[in-house]
Amino acid sequence: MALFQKKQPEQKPGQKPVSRAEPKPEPKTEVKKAAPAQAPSPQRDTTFFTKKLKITGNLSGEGNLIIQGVFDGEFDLRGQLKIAQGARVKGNVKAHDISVNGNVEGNLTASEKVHLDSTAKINGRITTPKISVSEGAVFDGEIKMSRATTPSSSASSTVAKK
Amino acid sequence: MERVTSGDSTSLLSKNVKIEGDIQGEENLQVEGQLKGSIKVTGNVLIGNTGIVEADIEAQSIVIQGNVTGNVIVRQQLEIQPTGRLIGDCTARSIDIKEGAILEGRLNMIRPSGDSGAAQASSTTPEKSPEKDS
Repeated sequence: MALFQKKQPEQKPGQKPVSRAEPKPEPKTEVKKAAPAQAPSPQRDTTFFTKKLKITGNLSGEGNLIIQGVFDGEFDLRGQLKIAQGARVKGNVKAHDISVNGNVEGNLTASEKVHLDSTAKINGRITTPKISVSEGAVFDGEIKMSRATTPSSSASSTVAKK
Repeated sequence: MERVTSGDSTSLLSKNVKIEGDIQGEENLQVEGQLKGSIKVTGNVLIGNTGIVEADIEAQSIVIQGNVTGNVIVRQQLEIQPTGRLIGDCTARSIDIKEGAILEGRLNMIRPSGDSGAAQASSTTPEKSPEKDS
């Protein structure tokens, strides 16, 4: 205890605490810089087709899908589908949740929702319980609002009545 | 895996997805799901552990960790890892088959033109030589 009491008054007037404080923030900033570099993690469950890829055929399965390239054929996906800007899809598309930013020629069928973003261009029919369209989207065709057959939607409507 | 991702962007066909058709492109491809048809890319192809491919594959290099049935043409290296299985003929410049890998089929090596090896290339079919356009 006696030692501590002696040291404390020495530190206050002296320049030592300043010099000691300086090296401390330096390693902290280094750690902060390193952290964001490791941040981008690969999405393992998301199927991803890049720009220069062309697929002809049918796709089915589970999970999320992002398409940036050209796809000629049918989709039947249990999950979220994102058609990115610049992508071209020719054929019928079926998914839970479809978000369009590119070109689609064919029918879109979603069991949850469809979103047409500002750069979307669609030629065909859309069947969905929920839709949203951003300004700038081009859509030639018809929309059919299907009642969602899931029990969750009927439950929400009864709540709304009360 | 790192070998494939080190190049340009890589397309990924994930585990629970199935494609019946043809894939063509100028980039890398990783297959963890099921594919029936054909693959023709200028980049590298990785058939992951869970990948099941029934297709003819043409690529710069191929790494097989999963299951492949079909003929394979590789401009550079074919690698079959211990978990990998290839049923089909393959053409490659260099091959790397790890212990435990399964390979059933014919192997054709692409030999560099103008080499002393070319003179001895009597075993390879004459079709091989025009393919060396790269």
